[in-house]
Amino acid sequence: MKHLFKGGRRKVAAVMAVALVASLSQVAPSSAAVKPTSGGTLTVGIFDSFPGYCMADNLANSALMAGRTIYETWVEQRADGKVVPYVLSAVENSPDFKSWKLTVRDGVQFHDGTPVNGDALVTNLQALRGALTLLGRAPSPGTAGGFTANIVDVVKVATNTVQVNLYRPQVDFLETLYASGRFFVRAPSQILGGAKCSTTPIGTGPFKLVSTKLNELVVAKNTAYWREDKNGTRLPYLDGITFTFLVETASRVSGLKSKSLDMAMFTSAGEVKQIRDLQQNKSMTVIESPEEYYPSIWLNNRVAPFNNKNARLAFSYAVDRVDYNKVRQRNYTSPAKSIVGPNNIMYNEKGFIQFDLKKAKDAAAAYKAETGKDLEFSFPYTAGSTESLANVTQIQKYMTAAGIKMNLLPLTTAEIIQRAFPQQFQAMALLLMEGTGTAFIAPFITSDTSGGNQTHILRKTPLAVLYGILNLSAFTDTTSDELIWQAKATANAAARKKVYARATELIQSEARLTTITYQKYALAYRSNVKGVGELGLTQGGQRKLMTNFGIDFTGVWKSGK
Amino acid sequence: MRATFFLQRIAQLLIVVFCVTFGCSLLIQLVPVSPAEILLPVGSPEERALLTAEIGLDRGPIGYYVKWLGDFVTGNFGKIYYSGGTEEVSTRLADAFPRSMWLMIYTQILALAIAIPLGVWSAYRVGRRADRVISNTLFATSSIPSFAIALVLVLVIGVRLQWLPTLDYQPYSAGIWEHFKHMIMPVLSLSVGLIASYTRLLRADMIATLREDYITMAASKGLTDRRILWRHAFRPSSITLFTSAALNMGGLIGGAIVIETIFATYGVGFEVFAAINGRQYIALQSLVGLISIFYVLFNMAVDFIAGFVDPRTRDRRVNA
Amino acid sequence: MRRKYTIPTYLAFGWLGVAAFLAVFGSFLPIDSYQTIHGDFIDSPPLTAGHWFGVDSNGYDILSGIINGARLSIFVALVSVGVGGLVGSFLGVTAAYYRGRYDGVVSTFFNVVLSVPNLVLALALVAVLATNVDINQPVPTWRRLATLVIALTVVIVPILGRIARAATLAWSGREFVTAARSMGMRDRQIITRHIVPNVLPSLIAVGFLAIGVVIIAEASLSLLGVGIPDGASWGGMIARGRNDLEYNPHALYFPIVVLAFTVISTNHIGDVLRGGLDRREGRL
Repeated sequence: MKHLFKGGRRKVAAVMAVALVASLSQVAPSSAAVKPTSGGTLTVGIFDSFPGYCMADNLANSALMAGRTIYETWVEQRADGKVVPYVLSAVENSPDFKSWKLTVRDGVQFHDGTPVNGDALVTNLQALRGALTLLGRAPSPGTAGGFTANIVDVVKVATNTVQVNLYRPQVDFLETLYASGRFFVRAPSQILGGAKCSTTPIGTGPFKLVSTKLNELVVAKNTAYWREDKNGTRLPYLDGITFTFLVETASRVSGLKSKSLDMAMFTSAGEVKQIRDLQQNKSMTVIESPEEYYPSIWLNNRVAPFNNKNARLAFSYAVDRVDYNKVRQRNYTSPAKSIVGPNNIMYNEKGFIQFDLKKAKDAAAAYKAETGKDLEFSFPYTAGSTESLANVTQIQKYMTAAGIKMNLLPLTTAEIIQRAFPQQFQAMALLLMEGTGTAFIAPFITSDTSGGNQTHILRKTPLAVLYGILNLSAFTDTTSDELIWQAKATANAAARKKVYARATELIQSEARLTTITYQKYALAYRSNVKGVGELGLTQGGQRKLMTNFGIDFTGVWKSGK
Repeated sequence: MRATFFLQRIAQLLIVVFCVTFGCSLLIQLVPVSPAEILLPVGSPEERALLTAEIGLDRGPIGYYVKWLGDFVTGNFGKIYYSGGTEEVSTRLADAFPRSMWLMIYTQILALAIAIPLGVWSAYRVGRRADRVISNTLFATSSIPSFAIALVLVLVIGVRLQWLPTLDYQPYSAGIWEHFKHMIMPVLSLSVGLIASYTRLLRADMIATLREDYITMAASKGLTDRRILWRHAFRPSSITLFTSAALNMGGLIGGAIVIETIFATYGVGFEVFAAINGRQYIALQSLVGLISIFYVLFNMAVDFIAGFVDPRTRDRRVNA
Repeated sequence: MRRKYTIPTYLAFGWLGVAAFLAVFGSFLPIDSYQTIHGDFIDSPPLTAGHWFGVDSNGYDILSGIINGARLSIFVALVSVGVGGLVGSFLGVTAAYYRGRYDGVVSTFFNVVLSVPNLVLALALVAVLATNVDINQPVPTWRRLATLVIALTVVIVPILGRIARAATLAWSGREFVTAARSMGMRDRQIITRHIVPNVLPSLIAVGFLAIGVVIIAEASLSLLGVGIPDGASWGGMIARGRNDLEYNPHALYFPIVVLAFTVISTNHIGDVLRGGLDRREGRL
């Protein structure tokens, strides 16, 4: 397999083959006209643990997939990227995109039997933006407070209709409301329930909670679920699902092969060999997400050495992205040409600092001339993780070649996350940005997510730190900020893309942060699992077959034993 | 005589548990980062102060310890803190403890069941080929870490032969065979290392016992070798073996983290690991306290039984 | 009872000699640093030119890992067993000789340490001793190494201490000790002249056993992120190769084989040194 990638013509063929596979993998594997059967349970191996289910508990990737069997979102994203109403029935915006009317679907109810209505929507939005926290009625909103800081107020205008007013116009407000699948429809009883918010998820989804702990989530069929399939059969088909946290890749692979697992999820970060192995396995189906996940190297613009532009340039020039992609990613993904990937509206190759060893050395020398110090910085990695160590060692190799000293900091995941958001590291690698739109990108690269709103509810409180906490590079750049807000106010898609492109170019040429390769996710399942990606959305169209949060389990069923 | 012995043991239990838990609380005070900062990454200073007070970390090492101890002895093992609310440590324990308990018991039974015949046999054949083969095989296997053995077992028994499930734990209520099916591989991987050390211990003691006069006398009376080995030599030789087995109880209950992770058994070891990583200090302290209680209890029990088995050995016995 | 040295004994000494040579002179050999990632040779099987033991899935050369890993594996094992053995046997011998309250304190200390799972101990020590307040200031390798050695030493102390104590109990009851005491010999002299020479052989033998135990314990610690930094140890190599078992088993079996050779050799030599003095040996 490796030899395919040597030499010209074969290399082209290989790239084409990969592209073909990638395009095919986005088509749902059809199981012809077999009628789904109800019943059965699935066991799914995942690589993230469950930190909890309250507003501040960020369920990551595969754990988010599990959480989304209990929870749904007000809106859903279609395969083409457009966000459409889901638990909402209708959405209407003012011509200036500053005010949005959201109407809740009739007849949907939470697992505790209470109805989903305008009040529930208001409670959810107020909890997410921290308003209920300030009143002492709900736990911390966590980073969601920063995400939703453009909201000025949330008003119920009819039983099932809520109006959201924004400070800055936002064409893509529904994307913010979606937050890449993270802004759940939580029951007010959970949000306001105090001590059980993190441990007792109550949603509207096809499954409801049986039990949960750090390493496991067990869900069972929600018999009162609101959706049915085209034959009129009530959904979901499955009786239950068990999601098990299996940090060892080998445990997930052997679990699938030994039939202890029906399904398992993988990431391109360090598990490429296993994904390719499973793709060869005839009793397994492997689906892949698009390459819409953009892990960043965040350079801390606030502290030395990366408060100096030459230091940032030196880092960015020094990284050989093509080599890294080959050595660390086995060419499974693509080397970065922008801080986001080609599918994203902000994608722009202009200004992106590419590998150039000579320029890296020059920039490091310029840094020394300016500050009198050799360029040196520290970089954290997950202690005990082979992959993480090899990743940073590879980057360290590029730095050494450019005459830059990179110290490695072995830390636990908890320590890294805890230090990352107060922006304490000099530099770090973390995947935050994703998708085709900017709702899950802009907050990480703007310095004030409230758009400069001086009367915003969190402004005078300690929670005001949330406006800039998501920007791990900790930079303040009013020009790029304004460009992003301007783009968000531009209704015409082509014009919007142009404005975004200018913002991207500016951020890239300042080397605020950089990207080395893109990332994707894969899901492997045994042949008795059917119906993956076949159930459409309520208002027509399909979801993306596979994302970082896996698949939708509503229409999944199990054949035989 | 027996009553004072018993009281002494109880006192020793209390002292050991006190030292372990107090040491643990001193360590917690030494950690440079405040737990509140980690539990509430985006919390306000007031919220953090409130949490620090609730954990008791504002009272200094002694005050903190007294508060924890007061809760612990009344059966309140503390809480695990989330961004939105808390969970009782005892809820987690109720789930995790049986898993570790069975894992430990089966591992010990299996290790002893294999090590005892091997140890007796190699002591009987000391210096001969059988003894050398057993010793070297055991050393070779004991130099493979248990997680490597676990992965090989998974690959061979689980994936290639498909005989056993590779993941998960099932309680007795799910059926005895289901329960055992999920236990076999984790137990095997944990016991390989123990078999080597147990065999070695028993072999050494047996060799010493077999040189004693009363064995020579028994042999001169014409008793069969088998009878001498099992009836006369084994019992007095087994004290160190069982003492050593009792010493391993603590490690097996709280220290099988890697095996628990590979097989998704998720017992107390994983809870301890999670508590350390998540800076859930109250939970950590209660867990470590409980493990040490179990450790000392097991040792007392073994001591007690050993006293009945062979009263002569009480003086010779290594302290436990 | 004095055994003659046999071929296996020479082999064992030979292997340990090689390992010791690698540990001392490994860094002077014309071998790449272990940290080098060989991007063009990822997953190469053994007997690839330039990478005779093959390359693992992260691009680390296995031969270079074995050679460079010898240094830290053996250093950690020798230091923790050496220091642990010294401290443990001092405590054990004095406790058994003087008995009384002092003995109670020492025995309790042994029990305290043994009742805390050693992984927990190591993790706690790393959190406390190998964490900097200024997070961007890397913790020096020697401090992480020292923390690891301390964690492993603390485990060894009660194990060897208990053996020393048991052996001393047996010997201090003997006639010649009583005789020495009645002749007015000082305690210190009795211990150094009569007790230690008799206790030493079994301690040395068990110490050799402990070396293997420590090397393996380090592997488990590596897996949890508290092993030798950057994983340049045999145990660390096994931990790193764990996800490779199905694809690149050579990444696992080379370190396992050298580890097995080392453990068998040390144990064999331990046996030989012990000679006829086969007696109780504690938890190993």
